[in-house]
Amino acid sequence: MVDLDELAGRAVAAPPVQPSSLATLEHRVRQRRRRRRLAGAVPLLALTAAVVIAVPRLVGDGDDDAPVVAGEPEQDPSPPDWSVRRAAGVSVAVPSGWEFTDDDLTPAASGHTRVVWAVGTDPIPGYDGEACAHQPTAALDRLERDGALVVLFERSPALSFTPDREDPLWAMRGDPNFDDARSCSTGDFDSWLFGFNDEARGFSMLVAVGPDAGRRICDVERLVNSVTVAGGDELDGRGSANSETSAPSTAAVDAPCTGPRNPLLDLPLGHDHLGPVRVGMTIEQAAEALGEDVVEKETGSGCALYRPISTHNMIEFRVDDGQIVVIQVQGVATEAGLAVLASEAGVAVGDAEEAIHEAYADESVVDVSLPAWRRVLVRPAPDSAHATVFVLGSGGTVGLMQAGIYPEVEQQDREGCA
Amino acid sequence: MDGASPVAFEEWYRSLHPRLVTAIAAATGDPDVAAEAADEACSRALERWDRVRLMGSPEAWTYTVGLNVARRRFRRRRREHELLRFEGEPGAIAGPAGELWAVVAVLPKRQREAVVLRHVGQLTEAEVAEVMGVARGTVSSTLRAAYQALRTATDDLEEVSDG
Repeated sequence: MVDLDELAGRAVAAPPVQPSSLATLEHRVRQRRRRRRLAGAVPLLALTAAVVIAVPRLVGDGDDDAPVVAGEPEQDPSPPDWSVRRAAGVSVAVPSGWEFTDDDLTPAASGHTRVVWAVGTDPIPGYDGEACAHQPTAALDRLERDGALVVLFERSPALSFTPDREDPLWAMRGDPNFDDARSCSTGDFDSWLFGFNDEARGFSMLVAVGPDAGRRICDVERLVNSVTVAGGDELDGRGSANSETSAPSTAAVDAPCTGPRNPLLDLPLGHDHLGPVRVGMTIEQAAEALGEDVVEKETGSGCALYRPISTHNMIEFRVDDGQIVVIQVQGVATEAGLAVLASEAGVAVGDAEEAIHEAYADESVVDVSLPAWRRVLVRPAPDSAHATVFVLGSGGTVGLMQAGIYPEVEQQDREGCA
Repeated sequence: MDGASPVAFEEWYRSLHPRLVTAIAAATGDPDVAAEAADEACSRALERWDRVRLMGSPEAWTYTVGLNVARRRFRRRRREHELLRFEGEPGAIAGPAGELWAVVAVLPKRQREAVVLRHVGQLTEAEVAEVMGVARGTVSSTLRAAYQALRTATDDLEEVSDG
């Protein structure tokens, strides 16, 4: 006879994993807080599309006939800080002093995946025989606190589920915290993994930055967006390394690190819309209204979250039965201060609760706090179909705003999607 | 649990962790995901301890976070393995937890979650409802369906009363 309680009791008495130390939990807390600061900094560092357009294609330039010197850059008179490196037909602008390699760092990646090149601030060792041979683990372990590492993989374009590359690469980045890399490596870093297709070739890119990388992230972004792909060889075998070099476009490397403010951050939030995006729209309609891709963030049972690709987690759309039902916006700390979104009535993330009552003096304002969350619900009238919920942080200021269909908007009260 | 001191949190954490990680492992079949999700959920509880400790059921809140994290990890792992074409398998669950997984693995995901929350997490039906985001009646019917499915699958399962 199988007794569930008895079976569960034995399992709990000998759990599959022992608890981590309190210090480990505290370290996670610190990392999470740092990631929030880092996530907020990234949207303001995006290069403009004009910069990407200005980067000349390097295929067929004069250096094709230059002697191939694997691993050694030519002298570049201008600009002095960057040089262009190339392997397997993919070129990248690299800051002076950074390391470049086209060695295979991941011997256990399947035969249809290969490392094209890796660029980083620190030495890039190859696989050292330890675990996780499908990750550049040794290189990640060597990453300094202020360091950065970018690894480009090539694979079959049929395996990619991201659209062909149209936007700057940095705008296509995935969610931070590429967990497989962080679970394989002993290093301390944040990492992104995203895929793209270019010139009928398929790629994945891993970007890792140390906790003190700071403004170096600007160089990473320029580097990532400088990647240029030529139509390449087949994926049978690695092919020969081809580290040709040439002078990079000054437009690419001289571009200001802090680009113009993302216009999506200036969209006002109403009870049933965010700028041109209205509750009731499909994701496709929202993407068309915003003029950029809207990608899935996560899916739970009966609930899906999407976000504009350029705004990271600052704007989210909750979708039920194919239609947007709730729009959530929040602000994040950045190097330039607090990047926020605001409601049409003028309440912004960071404002005190009094600002809500003042801005919506003619509307219904109700306390809908939960044990874990202090919240205020605003409706134009007590029976309005739409409403806005202001969630207040521990300091009593607005942390995020959720607008949409009532009562669904009041039910946005869980971690992720229940 | 009284007090917001690190000592008070740690005592609560160490009493909860065996049930939490076993429940997530039995819900997902992946001990690595369970370990990661349990750590993440407990670190969030630590970060918000001044509020979490005052909740009616800090355990229910932590299970909610842990299962949500586990679901996200699963989706991210599938995507990561697709992008890098690494065809590794999740680690097997060793020991008694593996025996539990072998029993509940036949259940659909929602039924499996309800069963592990009820029997491993030792949550009340009301707390299970809170974690799963459904009505209490739904939990009751989900558990009944799960017991029937297990009975059909094993032919020798003894239904445990709700007490």
